[in-house]
Amino acid sequence: MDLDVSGEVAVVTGAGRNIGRSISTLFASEGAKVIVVDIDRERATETVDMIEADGGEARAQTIDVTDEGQVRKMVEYTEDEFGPIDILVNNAAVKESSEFLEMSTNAFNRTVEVNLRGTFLCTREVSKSMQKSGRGSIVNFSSTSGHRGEKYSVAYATTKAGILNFTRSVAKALADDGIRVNTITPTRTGKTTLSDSNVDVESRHSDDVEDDQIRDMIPMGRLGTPDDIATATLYLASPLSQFITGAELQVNGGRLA
Amino acid sequence: MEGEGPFVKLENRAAVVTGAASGIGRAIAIELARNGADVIVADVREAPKSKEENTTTVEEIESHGQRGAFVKTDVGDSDDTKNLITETVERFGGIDIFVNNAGISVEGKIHETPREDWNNVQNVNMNGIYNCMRTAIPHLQESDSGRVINIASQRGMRGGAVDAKAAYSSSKGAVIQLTRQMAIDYGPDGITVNAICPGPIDTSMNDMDESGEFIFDQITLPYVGQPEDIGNAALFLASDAGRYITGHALVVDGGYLVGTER
Repeated sequence: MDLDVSGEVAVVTGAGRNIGRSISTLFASEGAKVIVVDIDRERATETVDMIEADGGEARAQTIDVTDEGQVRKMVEYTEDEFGPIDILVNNAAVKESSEFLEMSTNAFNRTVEVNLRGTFLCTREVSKSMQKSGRGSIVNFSSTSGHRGEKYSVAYATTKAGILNFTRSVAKALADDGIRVNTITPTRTGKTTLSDSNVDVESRHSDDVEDDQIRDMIPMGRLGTPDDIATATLYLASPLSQFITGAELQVNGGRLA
Repeated sequence: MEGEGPFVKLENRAAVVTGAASGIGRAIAIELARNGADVIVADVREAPKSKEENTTTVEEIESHGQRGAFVKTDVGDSDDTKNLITETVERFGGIDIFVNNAGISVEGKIHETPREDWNNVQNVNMNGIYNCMRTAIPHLQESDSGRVINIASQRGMRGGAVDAKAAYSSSKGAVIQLTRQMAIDYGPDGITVNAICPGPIDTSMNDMDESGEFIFDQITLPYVGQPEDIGNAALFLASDAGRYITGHALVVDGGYLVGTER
């Protein structure tokens, strides 16, 4: 047994860049058929082009994960194209950035909607597809700030803590269907690329910490790369982790140690 | 390129697995060897405890075309562990992967645990890691991809009501905390240090410990974990795929920790 996902159908959200793109291209290169979900058509298409250029199979789906109807249609489209879904990676997220006292209600709401409602909707709808084959693996994304808090991104940090318990709860709800649900907890993979966002709610706070400062907090002495996160995601998606559910996998160079 | 990704290949890596004659340690040693590592089997006994297995772990390692050797080792004895490291380096030229798996368990609340039992558990489960790491770390520091994997337990994260295991639980909690500290201490050397926390796994240790009272029905997933599940987790952490993971306690328990209560 190995990290084999060949022939499996994978849906990856926020797949137009960075971590989501890395996951999509890795899964496709390992033989999975990938649905590249992103709110930005150009970015999604670019990821699909990269996969196809490498000989892999993928389709783009430009949807807003907070929209129930669009999520349903995405699942229908996936089943029509590739069949029942085996793997879901809930990577789409937004990160607001502001002084807490200046944070707008809209920014708070939008962050909660994308990070929690989006994850909820995709999980609920995709699980129905997974039930058909009696197995599946769902990987959700938390963050180091889901453990430690983050003063300029209070809403983001709050939703990322929520993801940990969403994972535990849904793992219980779906265990009898043979569906495993786990969390990956990455840390920043580079400021310039805003790793885990696919929509910027507000411009980033001007005093936000630089990459160098983050690097100093990481025992391994380097920021993560999207590939570091992608290989860990592949592990949780593959049968190699068949006895893991409701768990967290921290991939952050020891930042939470 | 389909399947068989390069991520979990361990060619030319030298590994040591303590407590590798039986159960989880045996499965880890075999998974590492299956994927290209040479493996030293360190244990107090050479033959597997289970009567169902009629090969030694070394024979299994060699069947995968890798080098394997048994080094009789009580990890609680620092002369033994010194000899283990010397033997490993003599045979393989260095150490890339060290799996601290040797462990024992006794049942009992703290006031019912005889001092000798208490000390034995701490001596194997905690001092064993100290003994091994004191002499192994300099060799791991020389590796390009040093890996330490400590086998803790979900009992190191939560107490258990089914059976009191005061000595065992406390030792495993300590292993998790030691893992975090070692990750910070050796991150700059490029060594990752992680723990795996198995839940109920189908091994002879569980047969003995539960005295027939199985806790398997408290697993959330509809199947019982096998030693290979822990072997696969160790393989992942030891491989390039796990290169950015350190200081983490990976729970492999079929959802035992989150519980089956609604």
